[in-house]
Amino acid sequence: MSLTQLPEAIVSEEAQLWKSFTADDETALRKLMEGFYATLMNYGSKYTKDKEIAKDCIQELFIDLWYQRHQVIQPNSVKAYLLTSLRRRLFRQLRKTVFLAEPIFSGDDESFRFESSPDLILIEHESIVRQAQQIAHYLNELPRRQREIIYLKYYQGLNRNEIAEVMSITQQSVSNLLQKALVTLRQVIPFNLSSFLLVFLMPHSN
Amino acid sequence: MFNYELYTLDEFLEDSWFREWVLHPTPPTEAFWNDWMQLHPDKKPLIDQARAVLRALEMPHQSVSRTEITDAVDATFRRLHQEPRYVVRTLPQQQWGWAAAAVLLLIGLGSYVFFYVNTSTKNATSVAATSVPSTDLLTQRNDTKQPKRLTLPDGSEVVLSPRSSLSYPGKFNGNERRTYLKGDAFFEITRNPAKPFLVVTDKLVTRVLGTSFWVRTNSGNAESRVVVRTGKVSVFKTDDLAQTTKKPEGVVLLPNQQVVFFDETNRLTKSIVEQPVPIQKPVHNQEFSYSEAPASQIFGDLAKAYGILIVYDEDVLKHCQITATLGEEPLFDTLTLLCNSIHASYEVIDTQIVIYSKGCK
Repeated sequence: MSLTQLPEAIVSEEAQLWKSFTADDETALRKLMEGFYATLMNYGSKYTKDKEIAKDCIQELFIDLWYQRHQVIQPNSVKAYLLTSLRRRLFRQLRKTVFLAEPIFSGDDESFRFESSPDLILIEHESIVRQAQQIAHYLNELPRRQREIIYLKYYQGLNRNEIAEVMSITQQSVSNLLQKALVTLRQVIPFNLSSFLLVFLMPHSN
Repeated sequence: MFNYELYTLDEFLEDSWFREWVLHPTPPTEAFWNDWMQLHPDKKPLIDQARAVLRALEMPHQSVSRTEITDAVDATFRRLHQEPRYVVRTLPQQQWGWAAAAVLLLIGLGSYVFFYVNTSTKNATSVAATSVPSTDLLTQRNDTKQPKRLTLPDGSEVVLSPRSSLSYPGKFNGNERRTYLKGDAFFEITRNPAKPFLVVTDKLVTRVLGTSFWVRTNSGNAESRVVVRTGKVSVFKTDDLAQTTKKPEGVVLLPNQQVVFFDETNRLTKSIVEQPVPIQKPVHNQEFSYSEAPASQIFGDLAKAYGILIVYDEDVLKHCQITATLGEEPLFDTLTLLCNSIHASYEVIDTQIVIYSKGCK
């Protein structure tokens, strides 16, 4: 097996499912939703602590996809398409909620934070949890859009193109913001952590 | 076969097979990566770091279970079939609201009855199984896939792992706080020297005054384990609990120590935990900085920070000097690094770390 075979196999499977559901195959859309649900929930949890809001937005997203199946075009990346759509829905929904009730969507920098939850200690070794908490701490020091770029790149595995699409900014802005984030991280992360984090951050200054 | 030996941190992060194992482990990924780490123990720190980065980005961690996904998908497609689309968005929404409320009410009543009946029967079976004295014990079971947080009557906190249960009285009367555990749980016990806290499992009893520790019996390979995070813990065999005449023979555990009880040998074995953590929280980001310091001083400081006995020959190490800044790398990595720099080596013997060196010129 070569290095690139695995991801490509997955990508083409997604593309295949997309093609099928636009040709009225409902199970294909089911499979897409099953495959992406956890990923989309994780993204949603970055914008709202209210799980139900994220859940509703994801449901609406797939219902709309079904009704628009004859109009939607095949995206280059199914994942990026779904993340983009969810993000737009979340923004709309959360702004609405702000007017209606208490401010859940409280401005730019409060959302998209990496905050530890007690569950983590139970599924992961203590030492890894501690490392993760430290890393999260430094990531949270970054401005919101830079945090989101780091997340989309390293957690969701999107490329520059796809990140630009999701966040509706230009590719150049993605590069600039990523560059800025990495420079900041290099400065704030203390020696003991940077010894390994630098390895991870260095080659990505495109 | 992938050439994972040559992978760097970011290559691991971008590897779908690796990511799948960390974020959505399945039996094949577990088997592969556990085998791989056995074959490449030197890569474990790197793997751990890649895991930590993914976990940080994943925060706040919420496990999304299979059933949760299926439920959400089912709900979506139910709506898709039921709702004549453009009608729902306008008028009948309110009617749907009433219908939903009615359904919810029914579900609520149903689950209340179900839960009520369920807990009382489960309570009875579990009491019988652990031969727990039946004096009004509450039993909390965790049948979910998520860890469950409990607060006991004395304010102590317990995080109960899936497939585990804990029984305890509604109020801790008498001169001890006794609980009965099946499975795994992490305890953070409110300090009360007058009333020791006891966790009784099939094989082991853990007795503390106030501290935090893990009790694990769920591993499935005939072993029970107690791992101490803070404070002091004494552990003895459950068989000895009944003996009132003689004092039970047990072991005392300090932070970063663990005891494993193997069913086969019927013996308690004490050792250092796999990944020791410093027992004294360093004052904000404090580092140990050394400039040409005697090795013995550094080992002494480490011993103090981790509360672990490090044995070395003061005379032999007298002329060994080290310049280093020690941060929060795992203890055993730090030791390897230090030992390499002075051509020494170390060995873990029971709960001690022994440094071997021929000295420096």
